[in-house]
Amino acid sequence: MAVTSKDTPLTSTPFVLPGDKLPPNSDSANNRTGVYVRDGGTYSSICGKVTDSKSTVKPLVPPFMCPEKGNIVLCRVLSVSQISAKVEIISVGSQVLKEPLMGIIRREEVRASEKDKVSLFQSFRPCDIVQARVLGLGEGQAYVLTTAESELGVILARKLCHGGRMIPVSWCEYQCSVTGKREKRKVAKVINNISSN
Amino acid sequence: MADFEYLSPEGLRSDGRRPQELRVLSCNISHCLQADGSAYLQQGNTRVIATVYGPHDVSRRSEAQHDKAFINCQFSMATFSTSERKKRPTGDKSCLETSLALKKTFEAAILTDTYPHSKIDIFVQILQSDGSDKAVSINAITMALIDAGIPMKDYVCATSVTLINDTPIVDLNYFEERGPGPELIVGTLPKSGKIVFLQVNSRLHIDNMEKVLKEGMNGNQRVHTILDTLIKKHLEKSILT
Repeated sequence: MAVTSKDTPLTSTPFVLPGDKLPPNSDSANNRTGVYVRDGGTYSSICGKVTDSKSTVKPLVPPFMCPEKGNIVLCRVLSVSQISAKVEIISVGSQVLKEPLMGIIRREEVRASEKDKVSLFQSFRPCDIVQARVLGLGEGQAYVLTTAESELGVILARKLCHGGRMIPVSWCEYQCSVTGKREKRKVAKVINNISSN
Repeated sequence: MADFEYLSPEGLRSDGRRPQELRVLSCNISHCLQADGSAYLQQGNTRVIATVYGPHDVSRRSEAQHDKAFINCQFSMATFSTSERKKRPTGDKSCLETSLALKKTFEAAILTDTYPHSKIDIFVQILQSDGSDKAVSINAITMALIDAGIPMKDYVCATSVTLINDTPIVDLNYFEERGPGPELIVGTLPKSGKIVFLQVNSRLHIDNMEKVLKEGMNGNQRVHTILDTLIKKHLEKSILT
């Protein structure tokens, strides 16, 4: 049986599959998704659709996101100790993760000023939703995160005893909407377009 | 067994195929909704289920690699898959060896550096064994990986080849696999023609090697064409619904 060479650029078919050759493009392959370079040609690495503008492959399956250094992530506080707060990362940018990843916020990286006076117990409590920036991969399994920016910190807090919504009242305090009691937090200055970060 | 006719005077095999003919290949992709990717592949009477989970966080610290993903591959054969009932589905030497071989194969094909510090689980189970188990497993895993959206260099296609009366015979069934000829299993990346898996069972003369290997690679090209159409059909169906 004759074997046809399929090493021709695919433009007419709606999908590309791993190994399909893509039209040449000047952009380096490193900052494009779904492609790789072999022998000077660009090839698709996933099953998806070719976007017209930059010849990247848009995946049909939502891809798994690895948080990278500098990414803004949303996480839920699991436990707080004197030296660090353990969190689970639930989304990276606007992409919600399928399963949470572990993260850690060290005491020195809670806020930018007066670092030595930080008390983690007065910054986070379990179940708080925190916006943080990824510093990198720690030596363990956890990502190291920071909230040392005014836009980063607790964005959603609830009173644990009755689940009531709490409202930020200053840069370091949340107030319960039911009882009026105030609690200390590292409050984030929320900007409207969180999801676009 | 000695006078069993593997190739009739007319040049047909015991199941009526021509020497270079593949068995009928059919596939059910995404049958398992819990998994990130899954494929059920039937090649003649060999039936295989492959499921892929991940990439996800590593479960043990020792699995974490700072520059690439860890691939975990588990090959098993259902107790009812062979004519003689197996005692346990996994854990014997041949299963472990196959698991390792499949792991090495897909480490060469998956772009593991996309996902540092994470893990990809591949589970493959033979439901019915009728020859070419490893080759069919490789094809099934490829389908499951594409379904999971894991970046790969290319498809990995595999076929088994033997030599009977100086004629290479492609895609062996159980009888041919147990026959007197040597068995060569070859897995390639069909578009670049690179070999990522090669195994020879029993002795194959070096003069015949080239001939057998070439026939295996041709078989892989045909497997690739079939898998490609199957995937495209599946995609069109899933986009429409």
